[in-house]
Amino acid sequence: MKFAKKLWIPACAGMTAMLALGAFAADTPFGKKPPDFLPVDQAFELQPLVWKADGTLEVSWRITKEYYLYRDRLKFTAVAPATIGKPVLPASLPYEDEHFGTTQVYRDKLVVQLPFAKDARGEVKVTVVYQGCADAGLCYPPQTRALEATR
Amino acid sequence: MRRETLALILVCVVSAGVGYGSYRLWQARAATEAAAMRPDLEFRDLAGQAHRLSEWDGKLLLLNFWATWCPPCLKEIPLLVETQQQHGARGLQIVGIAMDEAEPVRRFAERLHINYPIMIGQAEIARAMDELGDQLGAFPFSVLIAPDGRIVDRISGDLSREEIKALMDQYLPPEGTHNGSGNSR
Repeated sequence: MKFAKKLWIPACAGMTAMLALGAFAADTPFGKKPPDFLPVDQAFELQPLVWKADGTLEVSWRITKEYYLYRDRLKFTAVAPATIGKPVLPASLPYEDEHFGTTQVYRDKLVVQLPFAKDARGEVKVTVVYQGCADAGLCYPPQTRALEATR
Repeated sequence: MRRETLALILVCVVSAGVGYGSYRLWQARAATEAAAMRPDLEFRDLAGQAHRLSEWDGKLLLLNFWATWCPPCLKEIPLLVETQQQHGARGLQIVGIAMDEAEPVRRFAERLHINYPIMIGQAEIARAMDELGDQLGAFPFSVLIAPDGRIVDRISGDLSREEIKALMDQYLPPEGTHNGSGNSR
């Protein structure tokens, strides 16, 4: 009886550990959890459009660690009748790929300045296209978002 | 008194563990059961010919959704080509499904020596991924379907050689026990 009393605690602990392990192993057939990829809007958090005092429109993203946006897949279009100037992009980082050679990417954050009419008032709408990937081996299709600002 | 308190804490911890473990097991089983049968989706190949998934019933079917602008997809394809070559005779059939235009897909298929059927499309491919249980809308996305039509796995992101081997070992019959053909296009 005393022996049984001594044994029940480690037995329960062992059973718990096995159950927990089994539950985790049941996640995939390899018993290995795949990377938890983020939904695109969490991987690349597009911030509200900012209409600055000097007339510039600012589009920015917070980019999650180990994710990146391609420089040459960025597109900015103002909805008519508004027109924007050539986007001012910050310095990018080189990224080597065996199929596409050296491409340019952004990590951590991206802030783009869009020259716009200094004295304009009212509402402006901008369409933004961007595309990015995760280092762990996943790419999101090009994303199109409509942003607007007023002043 | 101290012993009793300790025992009580241990009982609580153990109960919580058992509860959590059981919940995870139940959740995993429920997910597998919910996956159930694959829908009999229709895709078009590079020649515009229609194919239904039921065409490959009786084989272990690996659907690989990809795009020509997706570097991890292009990195993964040579492994899939090798896998089709090695395991076709054991009953494996890989089908590549590209969300892209025909011309770049044709070019990459030749460059990468793809030895399995390729389907193409646009919005209908995104809908198919959704129907097969994709939650990210990103590439590559692979779905493994058992010979009886049950969806047995879904994988977002590129597969490594080790992961592919583990899947083949788990789901294919031992060598020499299946009368299948090697490659098909």
